[in-house]
Amino acid sequence: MRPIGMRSVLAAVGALALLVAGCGGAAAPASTGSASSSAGSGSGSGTSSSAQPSSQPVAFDFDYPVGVSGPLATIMTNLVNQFNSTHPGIKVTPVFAGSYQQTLAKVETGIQAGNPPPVAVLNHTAVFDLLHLQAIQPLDSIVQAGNFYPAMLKPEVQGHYWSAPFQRSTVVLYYNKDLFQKAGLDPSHGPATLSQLVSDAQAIQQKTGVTGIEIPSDGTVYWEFQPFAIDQGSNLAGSNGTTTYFNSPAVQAGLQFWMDLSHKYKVEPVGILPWNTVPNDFEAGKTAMIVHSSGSLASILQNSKFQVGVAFMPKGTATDVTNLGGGDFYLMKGISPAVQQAAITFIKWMTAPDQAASWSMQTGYVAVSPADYQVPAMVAYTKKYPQALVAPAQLQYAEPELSTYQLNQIQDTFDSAVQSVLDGQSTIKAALDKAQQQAQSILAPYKTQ
Amino acid sequence: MAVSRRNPLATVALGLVAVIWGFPTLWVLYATFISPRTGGLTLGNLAGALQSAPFGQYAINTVLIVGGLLIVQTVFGAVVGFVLARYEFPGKALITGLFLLQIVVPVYAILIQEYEIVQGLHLLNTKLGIMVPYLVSGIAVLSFRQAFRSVPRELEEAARLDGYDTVGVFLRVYLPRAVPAALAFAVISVTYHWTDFLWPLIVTNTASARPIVVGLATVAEASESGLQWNLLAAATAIVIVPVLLVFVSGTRRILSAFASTFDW
Repeated sequence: MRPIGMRSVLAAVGALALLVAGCGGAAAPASTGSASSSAGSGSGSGTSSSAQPSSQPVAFDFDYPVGVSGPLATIMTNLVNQFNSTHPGIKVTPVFAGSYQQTLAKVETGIQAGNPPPVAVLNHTAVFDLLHLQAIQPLDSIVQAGNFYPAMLKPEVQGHYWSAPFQRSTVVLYYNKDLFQKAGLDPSHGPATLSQLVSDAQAIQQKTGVTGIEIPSDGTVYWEFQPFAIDQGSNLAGSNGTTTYFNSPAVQAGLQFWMDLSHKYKVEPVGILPWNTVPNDFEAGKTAMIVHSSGSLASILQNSKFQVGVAFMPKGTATDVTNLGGGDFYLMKGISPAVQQAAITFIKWMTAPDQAASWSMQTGYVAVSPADYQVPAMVAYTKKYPQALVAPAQLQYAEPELSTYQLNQIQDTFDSAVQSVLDGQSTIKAALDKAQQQAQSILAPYKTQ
Repeated sequence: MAVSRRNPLATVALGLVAVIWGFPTLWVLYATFISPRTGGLTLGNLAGALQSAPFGQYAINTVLIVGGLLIVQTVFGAVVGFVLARYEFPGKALITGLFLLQIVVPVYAILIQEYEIVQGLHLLNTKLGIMVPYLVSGIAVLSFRQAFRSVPRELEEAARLDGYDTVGVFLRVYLPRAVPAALAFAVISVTYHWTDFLWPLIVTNTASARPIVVGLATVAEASESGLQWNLLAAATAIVIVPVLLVFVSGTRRILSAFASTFDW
């Protein structure tokens, strides 16, 4: 490299960087403007024949994520094709959009460029960030007529239902019935209380040498942690999108129990356990119990060579607890009335019992309405796999998933705090106090709204 | 890159490094073809992965996108690199800086602007739409510029005495000496665009335009369930084996090309 040439080049880069930064700043408000002004005009990319009269079908795109391992994109495409063939006036194009986060990124990019997909499946918890972008329309009529599980509709935000439940899951306890039997425990039920959880795990470790329990703690660790905090008396956040309770006594007590499992009772490996390998350890008989998503049932049943038990989360107080996760249908703003009408028809159809039951059986998600479990195919399915009925039975005790504005940042804040404690880098109180303080400063700008 | 003397210690050390680096690839192939239940050979994982997305269509798209980009990037990079290496003109440093800046600023930093440009060109959900932000490559321009600068002036003067015009000099004197640079750049370009995921995911919607990594992603997501490792491994194998074969067949040339090119 010749120093003189490169130095002047670098100086020029500096100047250009300023220029680009300036352009970026100027472009942002312009794009927001175009998003709001284009309301009621275009629809999905390349398919905006929507405004035309009934001779042509109303066509629109539908973005969806995949959150469960397996050929879900194929199953979804088949389901949407079935809708298209039974609704001649409408043509929906299903668009696979990656993980939940990637789908949100794709949808938000479209929103900011004035080209949103009219319908998307996104996390139930994305509601605050979507409202902040002024991107979504309420779905009150669909939700009120849908007879969905009430737990799936919580919290009601700004007096409306903003999404229709579709692919939801709960936190459950899986246990190895064969190991329970070997340890002299009753395999017909899992541990009902936290102290039974500890004594069962200790008994299994003593009699069989197998690890008592594994609870995943990487990625979105807040999710599998929530039941342990709710059980002690408080969820991680309020329902207004700006209040967090990260350092409440309940959260501290929940985290203390997690630490005790490894350090005091010595029934769980020390450190951070990966979400993706915890089920493998269970399937391989390396751990007698795991806490995981109800959505993991199908693959666990498929890969385990022993009797698999599914149980409610053990409780420390009088009432059962669990936590909901998963995705809902959202209807975007800025679409033509014809597309909007067709989109509502589509969302209604997809969340109706026949389709919801079919989606649940093929994917492992909890179905969204009690009526779904009366569909004959579902009745036969749950007769064969009674374990699939644990999650819906849990729903009456289910609390909402952590949901706020700036959700990614808030979740990361809490997840890092828990992991720093599990790693032994911080004490429970110091980590949670800091997380609460950070969360409140992130959310401060949203409080006045 | 051969070890000059047969030092057994060096051989063992290199072997160890090779095993560590190669392990993920070997594991992918193992998990693809070995059934976790029986421990025997199986094609079931591969069949399952192939069913989960239109991999054939995706593969064709990917070859067109990656190949098309490579051609445009190389032609543009060679011509501009030549001008920047051999001509003096006002604002040259600024223009060179522009290409450097393109390397420094990733497409994802200006995602919405890029999306709006592609939308404005009516190229959403097309292969060309995926390619647009990458058609001009700063890395290509700077690689060729460097390669051309190291060509001795005397060679060019001799060629001009023999009656070659500028185009002739470019084609006969300069380009042949930039083959290692082109090869090294091709490796970077192909691996980057073969695996680039989020941008294609955001600007395309249907199988007619989507690349092969989108197919991999359809089985790689498991935030709400246990992961089916064998299915993931099989889909990974579908994506990486073609690139792997190209690289294995050209390892020696690629390594020497890298050694001679990246000394900006």
